[in-house]
Amino acid sequence: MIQMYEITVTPRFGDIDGLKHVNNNKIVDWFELARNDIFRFFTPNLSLEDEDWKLILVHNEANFVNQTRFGKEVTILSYILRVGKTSFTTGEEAWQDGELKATGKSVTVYYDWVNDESMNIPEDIKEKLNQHLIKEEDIGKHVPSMKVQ
Amino acid sequence: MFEITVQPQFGDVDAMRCVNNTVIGNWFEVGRNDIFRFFTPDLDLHYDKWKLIMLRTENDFVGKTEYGKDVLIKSYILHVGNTSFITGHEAWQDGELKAKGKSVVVNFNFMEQHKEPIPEDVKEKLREHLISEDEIANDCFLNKGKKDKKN
Repeated sequence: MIQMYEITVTPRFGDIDGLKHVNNNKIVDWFELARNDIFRFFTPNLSLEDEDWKLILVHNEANFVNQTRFGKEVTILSYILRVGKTSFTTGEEAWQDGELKATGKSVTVYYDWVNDESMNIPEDIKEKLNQHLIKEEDIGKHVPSMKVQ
Repeated sequence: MFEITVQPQFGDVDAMRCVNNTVIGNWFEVGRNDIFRFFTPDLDLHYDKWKLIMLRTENDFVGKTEYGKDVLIKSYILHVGNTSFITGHEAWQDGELKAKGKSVVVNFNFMEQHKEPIPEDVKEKLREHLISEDEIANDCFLNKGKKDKKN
């Protein structure tokens, strides 16, 4: 059983745009929040010093499949879609009321902030990432168990 | 091509001294305001007036955007379809490309909750700002870093 990471977020009043749904950028914010657990594989204490932090984002994308509304909590799932030599791809999903609202991907590079260059991901970290790997065709298939609201 | 200038805010900059990726997505949205006016000239956000819904965004972060210098955001159209269109965006700082993005926006009837064909006159306005994919500024900070190291 692949372990996905799951967090719950509450839409704020100010997250809602003029069309009465959560603004697209806010969902990308939540996807970043959901990557915290994955960041810990690289820097367990999340120290942001140049010597400690090892990641830089090079790409993100999001598909907005349904309108996310105010007043109900949102579950964000995150997992790994690809582990490469110097980079990896994460996947994220936003669910509300049992419905898939958005999916996302991001490409993050293993990066040396002191020498400003990409590096090879160490084997032990690759193994940890691989434990959370899902296939492209499984995106959106796992409905998170949400409490009834 | 539409251009706006934004000033990075202290809180936009993350612990690695770069403007956070999600802020650049926000700026690209600001860059779309002029394009939104083709559909709703007064930008009225009531359901019976507003016509657009975001379907997809993607961004490539090709350089580090830093604090203390203005950022130029360029916006244009990459594709005009029947019910949707694709916008393109670039963020430039200090003469260097820092990020580029695309978004797919659908002409949407909020009252009836379905997509609708883009009116012909609006399509024409969008086409005036159309550029081709190969005109998008292209650079990759990782490759550039490697080149610099050799020098």
